[in-house]
Amino acid sequence: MRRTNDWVIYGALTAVLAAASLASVFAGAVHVPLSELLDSGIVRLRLARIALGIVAGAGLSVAGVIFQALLRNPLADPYVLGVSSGSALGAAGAILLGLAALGPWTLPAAAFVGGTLTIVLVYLLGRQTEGGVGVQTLLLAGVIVSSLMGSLLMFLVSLSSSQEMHNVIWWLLGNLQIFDWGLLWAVTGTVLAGTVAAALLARGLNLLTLGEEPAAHLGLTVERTKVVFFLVGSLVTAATVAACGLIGFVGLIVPHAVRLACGPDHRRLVLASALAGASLLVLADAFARTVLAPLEIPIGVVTAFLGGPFFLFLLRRRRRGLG
Amino acid sequence: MIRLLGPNAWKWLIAVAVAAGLAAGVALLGGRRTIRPGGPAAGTRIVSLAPSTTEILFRLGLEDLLVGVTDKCDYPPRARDIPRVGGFGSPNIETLLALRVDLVVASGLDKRGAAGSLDKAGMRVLDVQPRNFRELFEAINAIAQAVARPERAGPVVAAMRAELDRTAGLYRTVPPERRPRVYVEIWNDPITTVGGGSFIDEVIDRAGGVNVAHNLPQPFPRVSPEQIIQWNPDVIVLTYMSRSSASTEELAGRIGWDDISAVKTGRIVRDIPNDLLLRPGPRLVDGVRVLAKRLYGHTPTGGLNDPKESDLHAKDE
Repeated sequence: MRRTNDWVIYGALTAVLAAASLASVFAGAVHVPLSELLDSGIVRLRLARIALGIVAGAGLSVAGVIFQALLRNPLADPYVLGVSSGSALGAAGAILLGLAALGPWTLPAAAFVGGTLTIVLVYLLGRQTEGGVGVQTLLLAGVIVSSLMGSLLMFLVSLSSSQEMHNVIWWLLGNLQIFDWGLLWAVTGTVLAGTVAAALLARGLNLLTLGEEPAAHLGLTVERTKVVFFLVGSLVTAATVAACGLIGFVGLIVPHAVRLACGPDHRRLVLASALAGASLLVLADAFARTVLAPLEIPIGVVTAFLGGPFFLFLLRRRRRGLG
Repeated sequence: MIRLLGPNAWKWLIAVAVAAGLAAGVALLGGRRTIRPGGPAAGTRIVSLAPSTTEILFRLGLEDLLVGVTDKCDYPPRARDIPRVGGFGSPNIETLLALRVDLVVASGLDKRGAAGSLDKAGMRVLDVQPRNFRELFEAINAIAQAVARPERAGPVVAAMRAELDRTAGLYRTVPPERRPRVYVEIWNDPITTVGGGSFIDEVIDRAGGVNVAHNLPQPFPRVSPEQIIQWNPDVIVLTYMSRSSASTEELAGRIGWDDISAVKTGRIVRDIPNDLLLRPGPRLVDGVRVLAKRLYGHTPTGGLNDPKESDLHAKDE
């Protein structure tokens, strides 16, 4: 019974995603007649962007699901452990050293290296003396490393000229501009692997939310599971940040919204969140590049603007349902 | 004598000789810095807070009055010998007071109220922010006025106007609809171009080109990459704020950009230093000339354009 129900949910969400993507192909900064659109460079560019939107939306949502379960904290999002600030520091360093213009790969690569080094640092700090990572320690280490990286970032920015500073800030605001298929495949591979891993190990997430001791009693190798999810969530986040900068709100809101709509079982939550997050980001990007066309507005602004009220609506509806 | 000073006497002698040499050198150099008779108003001590105003002061022959510049002031090369007083647009008031500055020349002070506090500290502030050539000429006049040397501005402005007119000769016979359509990229992530509100918009126009983003009111708009495919520019000019611009290969490899005319024909200009195109100073007319030569492919005498020509590095006067 539960299984058939799952397929209905996945089917519906896939239909939404397909509709959003299709609408997105025809929406853009410039209006092109259909006959011309199909064999112009514009359609390839839009398809690449939609693909990046799907991948980034899915990746951020899955990372959000993982961190909320792993840290047993409803406020957790993909950036809570400091991956974002490390990536930002890497990207800002590349911009300020003049490396960013060397090729399409330098900025994402610098961001990914920054993010990964932060993960390692947080992990080392979060490790407890008796072995294994403590959830609270991990969270604190993440917050502290995050503010440390943030202050280093501010230091770099204060050394820079105002134009360089603008470039850093705009990079931080996030966008889905993509120019290189190779970069798209790299992010897609990472996110796909992370999503599949999280979906296969979703029972572990269910058990972790019960608390570590009950989970261990139910036969979970708690320490190994925690480390695996920590790594999967962090790497997926680092990859999306490297490709599109910081896009807030998606990773926090989508897991909660899906939980409100389809219940808290992670075996369903992981894939449903991936699909819902992908749709949200594709729609948000279509909005970001059309509302003030040909100018673009930062996609993070749109996700907060569209996602916030929608989430409040879900929250109110559920409260009424309970009351 | 030598025995009196002990076994290390020769070291002392060398030290004294070096010190004397240094002192003589400093005196000589310092002597060259003294103000020539009939030179600018003696005693005015100027700090320039922007690379563009530093260049204007040098071009006006007022460099002897400069007691401080910013760390971005790199032209002419002698500007590097002047003490640095901090970053672009954010002066340290204590440093300025210590230098006993009379006049601060800036181009856009970062902090609101910075001008007011400099004023209270007894310094005159001249903040020039030219957005086109007319305002640039006014700014040059205003700076010359401020040091009571108004007669110095005329020849400088006249030479710049003459250069612009010479350049206009390259394309005067080309009707507007046949002039090359130019896309200028100043940053790649996110894509940033130059709109109608920017100085470089007029630079493109004076070079005989048509800015594809001319109708956007923002000076530095961030546009969708698909808009650039749609604009289909004839020429792409890359001039990034950081040290190096995207490569031609990178541009051609961007998804969908192989449809753009400039990419197909390889008309991608990436060797004009950004200060020639973006710094609102006297060398902007050189930027106009070099860009016009790239757009029209020959020198004023009609010869073919050599991309390695030395006039990228205009003479410093």
